[in-house]
Amino acid sequence: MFSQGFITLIIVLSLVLISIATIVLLALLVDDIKNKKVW
Amino acid sequence: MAPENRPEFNNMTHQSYIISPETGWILLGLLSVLWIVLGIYWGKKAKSMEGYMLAGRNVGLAFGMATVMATWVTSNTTMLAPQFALELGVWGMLAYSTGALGLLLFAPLAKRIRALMPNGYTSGDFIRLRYGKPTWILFLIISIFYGFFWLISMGMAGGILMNAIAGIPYEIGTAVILGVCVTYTLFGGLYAVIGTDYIQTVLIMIGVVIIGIAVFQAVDMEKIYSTLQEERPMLLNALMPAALMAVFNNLLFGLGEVFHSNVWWSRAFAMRDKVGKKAYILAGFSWLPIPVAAGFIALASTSLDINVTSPDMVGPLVAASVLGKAGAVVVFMVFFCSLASSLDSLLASTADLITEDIYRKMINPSASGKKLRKVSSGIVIGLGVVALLVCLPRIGTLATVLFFAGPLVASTIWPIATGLYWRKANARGAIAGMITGTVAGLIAYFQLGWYTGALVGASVSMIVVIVVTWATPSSFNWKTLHEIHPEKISDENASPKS
Repeated sequence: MFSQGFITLIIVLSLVLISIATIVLLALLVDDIKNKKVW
Repeated sequence: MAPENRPEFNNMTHQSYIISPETGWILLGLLSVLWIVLGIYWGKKAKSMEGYMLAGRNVGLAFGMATVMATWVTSNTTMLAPQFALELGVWGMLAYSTGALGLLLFAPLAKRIRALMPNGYTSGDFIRLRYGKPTWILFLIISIFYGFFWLISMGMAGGILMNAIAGIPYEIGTAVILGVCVTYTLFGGLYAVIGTDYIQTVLIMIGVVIIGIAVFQAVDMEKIYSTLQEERPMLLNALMPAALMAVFNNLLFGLGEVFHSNVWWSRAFAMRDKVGKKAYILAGFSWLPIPVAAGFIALASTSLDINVTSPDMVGPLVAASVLGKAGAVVVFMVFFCSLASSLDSLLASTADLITEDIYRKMINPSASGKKLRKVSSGIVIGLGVVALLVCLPRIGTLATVLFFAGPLVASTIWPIATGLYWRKANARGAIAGMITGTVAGLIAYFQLGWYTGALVGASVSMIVVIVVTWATPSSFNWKTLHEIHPEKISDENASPKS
């Protein structure tokens, strides 16, 4: 049986990871625009 | 009042819509216009066939990562991952997450593909040059069949969602979403697809986080856990055989989908040198948590007293119930973006495959770039129309539609992987692997269950490819893959020498 703690941990971790990924994606675009490497 | 106590959201069914049809039409109209305008704007960059099909082979890391992410976050992720969680429990959502391995393992392949085939256009090009015509034809049948099934599952998902969220009739919802994607793909090619994918990825990720936090606020974890323990304890079972089987099946299905499909090959060709590997790794890690977040939404449904009449609708119903009517805009946006980002990629890459591998290679080898563009546009429209006609009689749930293609694509994993790295791999092994893998996988699909098809298909194919190659080895010259496209040759001849 999966414990409540384990389920909470993976869910919180997944939401944190998605938030970080969003920030990374935005930062990468800024970097590509600066270096003129978007396309 | 907490959302779960609001009378309008209790016992929610398909008949009680989340937003009014009027609001649904306005949202649908606004998003459709946005994608079409952006598609036409970015499409102006496509001056040649290479620009139209491969976005000029100059896509940077941000757009590269986003387009891989957006395409893999299909409606299947946002609708099927919750369904997996609802039917197979915690293992179900973890099983869906293994799909990330497809992107992560394709990362080194993307680098190798770019190095081996700097002028390549499609995955079909590789199979034709590496294994010859018979293998190429078999591969095209599998690849186009799979692409079409995926397209149908997306079109169906569009109609189901528009109907469940806003009460827009299924047939009209399917037609509109297919029509919008066909329009902007038609005008902008891969430039339009990749550009819109970036915005769609950002919207999807922000939306998923908002929905996840909203569910946490609406029902606390303790309540979700205790309700599951009382009402559906098997969903918390750590040793559920069907779910464990689904982990491996989904992993191999994901691998097969990514390794063979021109959707992913065209991106490997389109990205700048040294960008492909990084983009696929970043996208893989970013996609990994999304099925878990989406699956969590389904697990919460038991505590929210939501009447789920169709398992693939659990995600939208829960999300809308905890966010209320105002938040339904977020739900609508996330699902619309996840659908559009995959539909456009699929239309573009399938049209490329048919244009390049069937029309140019088999029917009209001397076709000009202009002629190819015209043919490609016709194929995009044709695919949209045929997909719509097949979608209209709703033939099954998303899972049954999609996983039927599992054994077919899983049987291509080893011919592709060995073909890229193993000089001794040959057509005999590739053909035998694809045929035996497909047949064995389909038998498993019908006799044992949908969650075994890809697992059996990939395993049988692996053994056959390795044994046949080992028994009858050949020695491939990698330089054979350096084929130059006729359009490129004519461009080079036209440009003055420095």
